[in-house]
Amino acid sequence: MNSFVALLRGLKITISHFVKNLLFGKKGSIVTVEYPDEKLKYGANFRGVHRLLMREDGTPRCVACYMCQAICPALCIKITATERKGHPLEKMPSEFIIDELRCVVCGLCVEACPEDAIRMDSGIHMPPYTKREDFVLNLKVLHSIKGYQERE
Amino acid sequence: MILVIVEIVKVILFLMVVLSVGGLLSWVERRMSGFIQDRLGPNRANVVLFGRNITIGGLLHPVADGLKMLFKEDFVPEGAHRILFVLAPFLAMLFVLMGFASIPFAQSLNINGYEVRFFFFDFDVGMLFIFAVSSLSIFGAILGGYSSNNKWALLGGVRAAAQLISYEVVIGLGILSIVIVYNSLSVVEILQKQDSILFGFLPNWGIFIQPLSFILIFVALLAEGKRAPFDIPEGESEIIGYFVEYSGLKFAMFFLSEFIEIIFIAAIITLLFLGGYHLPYLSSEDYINAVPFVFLVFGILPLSLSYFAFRYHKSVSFFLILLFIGIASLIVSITSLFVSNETLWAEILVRISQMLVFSIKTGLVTFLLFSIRWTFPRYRFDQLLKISWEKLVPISILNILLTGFLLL
Repeated sequence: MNSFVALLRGLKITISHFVKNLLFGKKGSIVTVEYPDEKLKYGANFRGVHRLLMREDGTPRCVACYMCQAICPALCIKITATERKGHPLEKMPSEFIIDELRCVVCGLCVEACPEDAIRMDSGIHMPPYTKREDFVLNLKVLHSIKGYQERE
Repeated sequence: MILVIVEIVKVILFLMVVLSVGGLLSWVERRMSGFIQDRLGPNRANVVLFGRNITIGGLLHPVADGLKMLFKEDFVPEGAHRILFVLAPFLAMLFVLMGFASIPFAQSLNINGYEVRFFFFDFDVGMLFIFAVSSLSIFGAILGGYSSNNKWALLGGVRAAAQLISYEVVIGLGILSIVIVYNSLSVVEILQKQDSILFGFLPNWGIFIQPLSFILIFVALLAEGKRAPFDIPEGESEIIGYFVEYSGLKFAMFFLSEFIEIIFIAAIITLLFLGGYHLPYLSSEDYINAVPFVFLVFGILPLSLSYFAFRYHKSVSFFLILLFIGIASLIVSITSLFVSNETLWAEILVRISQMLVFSIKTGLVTFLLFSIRWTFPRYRFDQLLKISWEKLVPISILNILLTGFLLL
């Protein structure tokens, strides 16, 4: 008799969930995210695709100090340095290549950067390209990616 | 001649309704399990009409499933018994559909001297027929498992057979107790006798007069319909079941026959225990007075649901369908107020509302069957047999003794 009551109690739980969700849909207790139609926002500390930031005068913030390239455990960053125009002391990258397929998304490059030039706050993950070459981002592309705050 | 045509039309109409409802139930079950588990369930199959995606809340999924099954390879495994292998799904379907032959959906109707009955055979021993057919319906599973030349399928078939034998006894004894109480083997007569008042305040339904046998038959029919928590012949997670080797349309027939069997089970339970098409506290002569009320309920329900469909599910097509059903039955409800008694239209309205009452009751039982499936875990095989032989059979024998004693 006790077990029978327990069975009925179980039924009550499932039926109450059913009725609630039948009537109120997503206002009920449904947790489904219908992915292509609606997307969850990533948190502010989500490590997405890298991006390089600009100074206010439109030149790269990066001074080609090789910190990120040195700390990268996956060896996916490759910097070529050149002289910065009008600055006798500073350098700047003439090419900045990140192989996103090799990247392990550890975020150490961001930590290592003394100029706050490289960030992973773009809020997007790498799109599923079909060619390997597409995953290798160069300086121009990295500069063009916007942060998640600007995108909103 | 006219009678033959009427019968054929009846069969065709009935098959159309039952087969399509069986298909729809496959969607209902999946969607309902989704809601129970706080998911959405299948709602994405769509047709593009006028540049818009029409999904009808996922109602196109059965169509998509059917089309997919249609184009699958019709595969017969090596070493299988070809004839039985092909025959099994047809048998499964046939026996399930046969069971409906003696289930009355409404009172019979007199049109110009022709009697139109809302069932197919008038047996004196309709109960025995239902009993026989409900146990035959497992033959498809047994034959399918036996003929596939596959160990898992064979296991599924053997389990189905063992389950049938154990629960057959319970069903037989349960039906016997109902037969003792109503003192008849004819389904129609049993139904007519439920149309009275018990002890002055309860409708004379089987559930009130035989509550124990209601639970027994409910459990036993669950087992015989291979429904969870007794679905071990399928046992999706362990042996996949008697239809492992089936593909394409043959699998679809097994699948569909299972859902039709659910309707059959629900119909039997409605018939024996919930008073069939009768409304409580209302004899069938006064049925015409209740017709506006029945249609009113059947109109208000979809209308209120349509609000929720529009507001919370944002499904315009579903909203329109529900709105249409609701308004249509409200209109019928209002017009039925002005139809005078004793005319043909009044009689037809009575029959339609009786069918509505019957299908609402059947739908409620089906709802219970579905929610039981998504609530309780599957029993082990030995537990299953133990429940039958050590608990249900003694209880049902006691029940019969008690019934006989009280009647004497």
